[in-house]
Amino acid sequence: MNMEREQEKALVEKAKTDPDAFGKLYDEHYSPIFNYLLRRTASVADAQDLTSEVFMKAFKNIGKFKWSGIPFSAWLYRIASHEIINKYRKGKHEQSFNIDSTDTDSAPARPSLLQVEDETKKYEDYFVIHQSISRLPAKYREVISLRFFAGKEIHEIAQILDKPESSIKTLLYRGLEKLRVDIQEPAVVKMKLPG
Amino acid sequence: MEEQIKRLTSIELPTLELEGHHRALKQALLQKVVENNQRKISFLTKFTGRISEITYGLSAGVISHRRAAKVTLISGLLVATAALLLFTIVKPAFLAGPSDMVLAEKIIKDSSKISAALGGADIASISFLTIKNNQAEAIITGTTGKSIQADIDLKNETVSTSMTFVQDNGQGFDITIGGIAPLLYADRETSINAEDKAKAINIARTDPLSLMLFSTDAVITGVYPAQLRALYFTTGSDSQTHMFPDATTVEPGPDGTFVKFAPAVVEITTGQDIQSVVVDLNTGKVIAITPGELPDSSTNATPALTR
Repeated sequence: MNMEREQEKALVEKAKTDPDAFGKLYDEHYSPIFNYLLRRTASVADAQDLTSEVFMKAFKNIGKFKWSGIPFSAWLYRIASHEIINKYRKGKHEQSFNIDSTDTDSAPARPSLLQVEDETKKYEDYFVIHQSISRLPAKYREVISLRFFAGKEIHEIAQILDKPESSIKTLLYRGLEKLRVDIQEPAVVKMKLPG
Repeated sequence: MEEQIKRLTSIELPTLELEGHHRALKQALLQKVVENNQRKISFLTKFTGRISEITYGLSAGVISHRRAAKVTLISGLLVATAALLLFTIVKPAFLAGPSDMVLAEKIIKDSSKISAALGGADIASISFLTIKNNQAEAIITGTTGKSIQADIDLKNETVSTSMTFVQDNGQGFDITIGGIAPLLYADRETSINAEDKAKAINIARTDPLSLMLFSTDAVITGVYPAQLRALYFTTGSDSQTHMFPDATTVEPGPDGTFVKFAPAVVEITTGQDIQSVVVDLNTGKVIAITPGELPDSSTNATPALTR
């Protein structure tokens, strides 16, 4: 085990009883987790809510965290993934219109805080990709998002999702193939009309 | 597939640094620790309460001596174990001295500066933004609804600064800074540079108060330089008008504090509703939130004073 891992292990153990140590872990991981959730949801407000949930849950359950060589960040990303699924499962029926997909956790594509003119232009490609990714089934969406929105390597995604690397590679390959088809032939968006 | 991967790895991804949210969440986690500790203490209280109940039951002849002795012994052992654990993990105040939060609260409550800033009103609530390295940052709200932001030096037990005064007038937030009642104007004829524009938006959307304006259908409809014209009251009858258009302005307020501003206004529109968030590019803080658009700096309109 390298030095960095040893230090992280010691800090995680300390964080179980020492709030200051948890504060250090929080400071280190806040930004990557928040930005991953921002890219997943395309909404600053949702990303803030979810980040709060992730760290509250991590704080509550850190006593149960058992070190098995997997980085602490992988555990946080795993909580984040569960929170995203939970949030949009709950919020699914609250939307005034639905994108015609059987399994979507998509947030509004261009939400308020990213709706500043310059930023919309700057992130045009991102919005297109985000839309397409949000139309994919959850298993592909998860893997592709961790790979390209969080910049995780295959082995790291395997640790986060607790799956063999071979499965991750397969999911990534098939997901990218579906994404390619979706971008070439975008799904028809059906809107529920009033009355 | 290659092309697909290339496209995905080359897209510009949104990245934000939300200092306000980072701090607020950390504070909430800290608060959770305090609550958990309090819960542990109430667990202890429950056991001591049980012993009192038994003592009462015994004196009233409701329970037998044998049963009382048994329950008391078990309860006593549990209390002793719980107390031992507690004292080891969480040092009680009388052993460890007051926590930083308790100390900060005491300094705030004893501070004549804060009392004066609240206009002599009692303190209704104290919310801590940060407590670290012997420094605490808090928002203190008086019973009149007026809030101030203060920095507390825990080591020297002093309030080192007390600079932002915000008041909810029922329609939005008015502000008085160091006793100066500001009159805010938007300078729509001068275009704001891209860097300041981005900075102003970032300040507005990371501030806990203005963040509430960003509902899902809110849109930023304008960002302009702002002017802060203030009436600086020297006596009850004599007043003098000052204009603070840029960062170079330094004026002493009535209480001797100095204010320096580089104001900009961010207009947030939700449906028909417009809110103006005035930010200070120097300090990175929101200095006022007012309903509607600010009057244009080219007009001579004088908004009502809130002082």
